[in-house]
Amino acid sequence: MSDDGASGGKTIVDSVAVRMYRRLLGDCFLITVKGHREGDENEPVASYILIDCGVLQGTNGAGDLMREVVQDIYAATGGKPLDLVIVTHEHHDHISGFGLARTVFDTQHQKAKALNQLWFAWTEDPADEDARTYQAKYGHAFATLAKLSEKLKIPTKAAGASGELLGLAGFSGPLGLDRAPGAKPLRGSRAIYARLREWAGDGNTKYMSPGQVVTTPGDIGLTAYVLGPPRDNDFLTKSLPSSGANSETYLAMAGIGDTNGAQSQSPFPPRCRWRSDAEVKAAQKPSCDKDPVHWLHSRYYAPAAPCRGGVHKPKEGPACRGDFSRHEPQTYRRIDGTARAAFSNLALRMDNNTNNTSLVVAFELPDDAGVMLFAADAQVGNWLSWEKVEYRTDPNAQPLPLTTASLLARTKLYKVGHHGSHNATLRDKGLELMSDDLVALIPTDAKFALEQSSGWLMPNPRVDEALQAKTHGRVLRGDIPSARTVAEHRKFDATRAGDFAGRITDNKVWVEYRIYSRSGQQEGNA
Amino acid sequence: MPADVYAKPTKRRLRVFAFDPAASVQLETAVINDSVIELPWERPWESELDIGPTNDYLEVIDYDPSCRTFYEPVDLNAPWLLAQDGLPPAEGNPQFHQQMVFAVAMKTVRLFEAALGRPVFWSIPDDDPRVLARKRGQPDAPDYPPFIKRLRIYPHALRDANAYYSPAKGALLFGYFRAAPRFAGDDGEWVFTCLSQDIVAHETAHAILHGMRRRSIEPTNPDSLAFHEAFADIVALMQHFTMDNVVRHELGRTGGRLRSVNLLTGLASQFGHATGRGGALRMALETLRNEQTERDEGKEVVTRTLKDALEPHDRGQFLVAAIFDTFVTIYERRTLDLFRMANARPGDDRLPEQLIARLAAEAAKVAQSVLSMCVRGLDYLPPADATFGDYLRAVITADTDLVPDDKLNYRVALAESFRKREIPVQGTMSYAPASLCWEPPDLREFEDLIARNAEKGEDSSPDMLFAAALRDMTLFARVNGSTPQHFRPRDEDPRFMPRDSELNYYVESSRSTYIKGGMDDRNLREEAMRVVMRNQRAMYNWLISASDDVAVERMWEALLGLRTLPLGKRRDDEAARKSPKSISARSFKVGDVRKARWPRVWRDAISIRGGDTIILPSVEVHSVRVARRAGPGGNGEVFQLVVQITQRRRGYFNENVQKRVDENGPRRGPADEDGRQGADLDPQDFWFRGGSTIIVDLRDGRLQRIIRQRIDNDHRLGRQRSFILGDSTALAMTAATSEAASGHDARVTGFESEPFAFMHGELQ
Repeated sequence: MSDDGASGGKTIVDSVAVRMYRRLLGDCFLITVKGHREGDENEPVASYILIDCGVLQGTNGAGDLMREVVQDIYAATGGKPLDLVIVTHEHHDHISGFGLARTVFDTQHQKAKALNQLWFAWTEDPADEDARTYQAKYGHAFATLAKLSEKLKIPTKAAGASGELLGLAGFSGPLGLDRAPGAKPLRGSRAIYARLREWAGDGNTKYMSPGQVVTTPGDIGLTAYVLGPPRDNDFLTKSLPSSGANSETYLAMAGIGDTNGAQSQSPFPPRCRWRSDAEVKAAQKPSCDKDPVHWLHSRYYAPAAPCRGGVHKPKEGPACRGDFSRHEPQTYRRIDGTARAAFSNLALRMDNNTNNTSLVVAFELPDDAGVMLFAADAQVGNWLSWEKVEYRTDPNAQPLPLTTASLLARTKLYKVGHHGSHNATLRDKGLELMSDDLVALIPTDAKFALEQSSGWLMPNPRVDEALQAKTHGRVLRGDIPSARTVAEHRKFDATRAGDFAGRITDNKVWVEYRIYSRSGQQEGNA
Repeated sequence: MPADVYAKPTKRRLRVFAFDPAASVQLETAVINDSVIELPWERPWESELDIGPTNDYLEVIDYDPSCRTFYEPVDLNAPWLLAQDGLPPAEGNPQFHQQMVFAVAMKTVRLFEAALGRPVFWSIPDDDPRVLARKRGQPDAPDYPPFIKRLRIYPHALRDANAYYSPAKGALLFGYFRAAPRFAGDDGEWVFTCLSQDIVAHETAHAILHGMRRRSIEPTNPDSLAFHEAFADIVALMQHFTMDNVVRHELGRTGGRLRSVNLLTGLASQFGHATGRGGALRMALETLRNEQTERDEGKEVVTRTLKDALEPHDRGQFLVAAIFDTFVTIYERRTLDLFRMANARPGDDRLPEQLIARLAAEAAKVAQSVLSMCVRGLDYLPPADATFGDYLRAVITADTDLVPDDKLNYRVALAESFRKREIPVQGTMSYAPASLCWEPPDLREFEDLIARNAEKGEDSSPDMLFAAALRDMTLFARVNGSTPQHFRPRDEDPRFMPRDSELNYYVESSRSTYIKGGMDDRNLREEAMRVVMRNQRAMYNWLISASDDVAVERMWEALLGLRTLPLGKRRDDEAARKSPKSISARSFKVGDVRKARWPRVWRDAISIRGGDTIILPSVEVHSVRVARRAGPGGNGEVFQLVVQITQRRRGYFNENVQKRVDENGPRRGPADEDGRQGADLDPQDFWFRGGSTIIVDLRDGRLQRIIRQRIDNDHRLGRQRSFILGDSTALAMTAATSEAASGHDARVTGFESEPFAFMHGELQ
């Protein structure tokens, strides 16, 4: 099969290879399409597609790592611009490389150009009304989160330490990124996106909606199908707090400003706002006392519970000895920290929400050789929406006779969703539908993931098990040498392990899998 | 002092909203929204009510962290408040909030106590530094009681549409928030979750349930958290029927029918709508209403069943529906004659006033009975990993033990409701109440042993042997301070780890307050806590003390579903009941203990060579409670001891690792210079628990029931593993709640410390 390259003239694809960068808990994939002009084997052409470029916040030496990765990418293109950069969603572990390796991109941009075309999900389209609504809500929630983190003094820059809140911020990127005092908090992704658009140049940024069928740009292209994110606006914003009253709620939780300012947040009239926390805290007196302020102090701020007795019958001394709760520690029962729980709650919701805005693309391989599916971090909602997608080459055209199920049935390479976590790979409506020749790629660092917060299972053992079974052991991982994968595959299928191993190129920076080669394909067909 | 001259009042009356503040601004409901809760006045052996309000059970502390403000604690003993049943219902007065949250929570506590026949205790919070120190294995970790005296209530803890029980803090946290504006220019009204009877009752029920069953908040199967939720909903729902004025009003409107959704059966609307919670309850009631509509319209009734619930969280509704169905069915049967006598038909909206009053009385009575049945069933659950089916069996058995003759067919109605919803019950022949009862201890396989020992003149029947445990227990509150002599641990068993602090603690705590000070200082609740601790100690000592006969020890292992003998190569080649070495255990070197001091039974049980390590399984005695209950209307009574014993075992996601650790035990790194144990090389992925609930009839000390959940049940372990790793039918799970239940990504959110925060939040 041949495609029309962007620069005209028929081209024949000779090989397609997918390179997964290692050592990252994050996505960075380079697809290399090589071929030649029809009728002229001696005029080779190649196109390069980069899907995401990021690493989780808190990774040691992230800057050096990403610079090395991006240098390698441009070494692979031979100094040519990337023909296409696909940014799936705005999580740090998918985009931070564009910032961390900015100097490398800039150098490349001055020499030639950093990239020729840029794809985002429709949610980033400034001309799309639904996208604007979504962005407004998301931006608002983000600003709330940033302010909260400031108030609660939650560290936003990871220092290798773990912690539940940090873990979430790790996905979302630094919250208060480089902002002048008093300025509106800007998501880290905004600056990166602006730079990417600049590198791409005017008119070269495209916003993809589910159902679009496009040929990738460059001298030689592949047909790409867009599966997600869903257009259902309700679904996308469902878990974000609505603007207005509710987000004020979150802000109020942080106890803004001084005590007086905080007290004005109370819904009760001023006469009911009895004592501030500072007043009660300062009221250190004998634990059993008739004064209600002391009474409260001894029950809320004092390290141990007071003895039995109260304002009506103060007691001290031997009479209290039999009290069961006397000296019971009670500091941990304070609730000053509940705002932090609200923070992680909101952060979690935003996180899941963002994952569901993932741009999901399937690429058709030539000669009916199958499909490559890049699921980004799509979670269940995104996956479920694919079923109803109708594919059109032109918005006004009739839908193609093609369903997502048929794309999945031909899927031979699957970039596993969300580093293999439990809710980013569907079984019955996903993995089970895929081809039996499947090869899976998991960009993960399982050990590092387990160190995050109280431990992320990436991949989830059950997902891993299903993938192993489905792919007959052909699961390539960022944190495992490919030799082990080959050995695993050999256990299932000794005869074809050689062919599988032959398609892998492996080094410490990346692992590359040649999913298609014209000669190999013909051999296979023969 | 008036107390010297006048008698104390018997009741303390406190005004509350019958539903929630929203009901007061609707004409239809405003007339009935003002209600009064009557609590028994503090009894002579209880502390007096303090400001807060604070009593022996609860302490209301009104700190609002969002605006860093303390609201003044209400003093319910102020004369002016005493004269008017407390503060009048008012949203704008935080002191009324304190009063209402206290009244409703206390009412729930009293209701449980009446049904259980013993005081309610609160589980010690997980964040208590003493618990943490022990968990970290600090050698100087102090011993601590398994409960705290007071549950803390924060009426204004969160600026969020949420309210939850925090097992980590031992507190109920109620949130408040501003609802969305209803029209342009509207500010949106403030909604306070602490002003909803339903929410307060629901959260209190969570705390009580956790206090009774410490392991119940661990998600081990799809029913575990759903059960917690559903049970709390049932408690909240059934309490509606205790408000006579409301019941009459509503029965008048519906013509004496309970199946249609109205104020009584729906969750209070303001919160239900504003917080999006009460999902299970609302769904349950809608299901019932739809079924009734179909019946009314003569259509074929399609009963929704448990298998329709795809997500664990949906499952709760079927339990609520089944219980509510039971209630309504019994109510209908009991009121049939009333309708006939009055020549009236259900559904007629012009029923005579007197009939409605009688109907309301019946409804209250039935609600009380059904709720008591439900509460009593809790004691008959296995101590870990219970399912809805286990709960049905528990309720039926508990009721059978209390009221042997089920004249009114309550049990049949209950079993029928469960069967209709297709809630599976494992290990029974049918849904007939008789076959649903837990079996009494099965002694057939030990008959030979007992007979053999009888020839030697030893009575080794379990009842007789258990009497040794009972001997060291205290079954009544003591008025003197004697300390039983049997608490000296037998130091050959390393599980004792005799520490001065620990011993002092028990000696100290075993001194009754009743011997010190004047009568004024006697507090029965504190004494009850000491009694429970002593009994727990006695039970533990009995459990780990070895008898001389391996066969007798093995009999107990089989009866209780756990392991007490050393783990290792067994002498009697009885492969059928092998002991997995993944059971949590303490080990020590054979050489470290002088041979003469080993119980003979250890040597008889396993082959020990010099240089070997002896691995002794650990056991936990969760609760030993004495219950005295009376059946409804003086019909039947029980005097029981309820004991929960558990043991835990390391569970692994990888079946091969599981097999290896089961066979060889967890690997350890090399010991350090000081001889301390090396690092744990096989940390578990999850804990798998087993054990049993023992019910003893204290009238004659006989073992009445042993409800077992075997620790060596590999099949159940596999089920728990599949559940934790995700649903077996889909890799992916859809809702955030099930994510929480799976316990993985949820860990990111701190789910483990606040499981209920996420059950209720907007994540739904």
